[in-house]
Amino acid sequence: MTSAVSANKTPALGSDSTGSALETTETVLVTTHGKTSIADVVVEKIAGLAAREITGVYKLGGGGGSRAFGAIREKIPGGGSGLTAGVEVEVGARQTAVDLDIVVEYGVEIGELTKAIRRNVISAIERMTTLEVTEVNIVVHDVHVPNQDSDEPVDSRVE
Amino acid sequence: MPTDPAGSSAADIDAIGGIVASCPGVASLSAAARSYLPGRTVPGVSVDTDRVDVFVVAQYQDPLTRVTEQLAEALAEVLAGRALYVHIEDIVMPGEQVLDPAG
Repeated sequence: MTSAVSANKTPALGSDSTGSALETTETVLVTTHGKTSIADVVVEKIAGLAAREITGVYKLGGGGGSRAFGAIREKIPGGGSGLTAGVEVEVGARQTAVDLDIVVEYGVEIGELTKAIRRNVISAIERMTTLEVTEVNIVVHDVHVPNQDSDEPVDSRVE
Repeated sequence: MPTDPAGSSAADIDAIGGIVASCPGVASLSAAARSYLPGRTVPGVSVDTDRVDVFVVAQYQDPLTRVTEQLAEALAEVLAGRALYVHIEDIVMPGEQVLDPAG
């Protein structure tokens, strides 16, 4: 099992030539019937879903080139997933810390929103994995204002 | 591939793979690791004399420790005393499109 986990770690992109799963960062939970190892991506997906469920969260990720939030990972074919955008986790044997990068809807009370996100993320991770969530750090990097979407089509001056 | 008293033969590996894949909490075997046999591989299974490692993609339903318990119960007979290590390599979230699982 790897030890140190940095925010810029390179995610495992699948099996290597030895097929060793021990090179991914995993947790090992001891139950009476066997040992369970959980890959980071599992915790990330659970955290991502729990965060996106909260009304007022417009989306996760898109935080402009921040390597810590998977911007690099998403550009690797087959290596990224929309479900883990904006989510980074640090996973230990019994605990995990979660970093989220979010865009909120305009008009939302951000203090209440982040409280709700933390509640839901902690509850989902602890239910599914029994890992203790030590912290949920949230960066609000943008506000989504309707009718001023940059994704609305713009007439180009040139063809 | 040498056989051994614990029976890490093709039949053993295939049996384990079949049981794991049919477990309700398991979406599919994971390609994170595999067993190598003459002419083919069995994804998601690695056996040894004293331990069996299974690599799965879980469903988003029961707690993952429950998946391990289900697998331990289903595999009890074929394990023949070997320790079970369950590796949750990925999880299928509600509405997520499942890509080609373990090839």
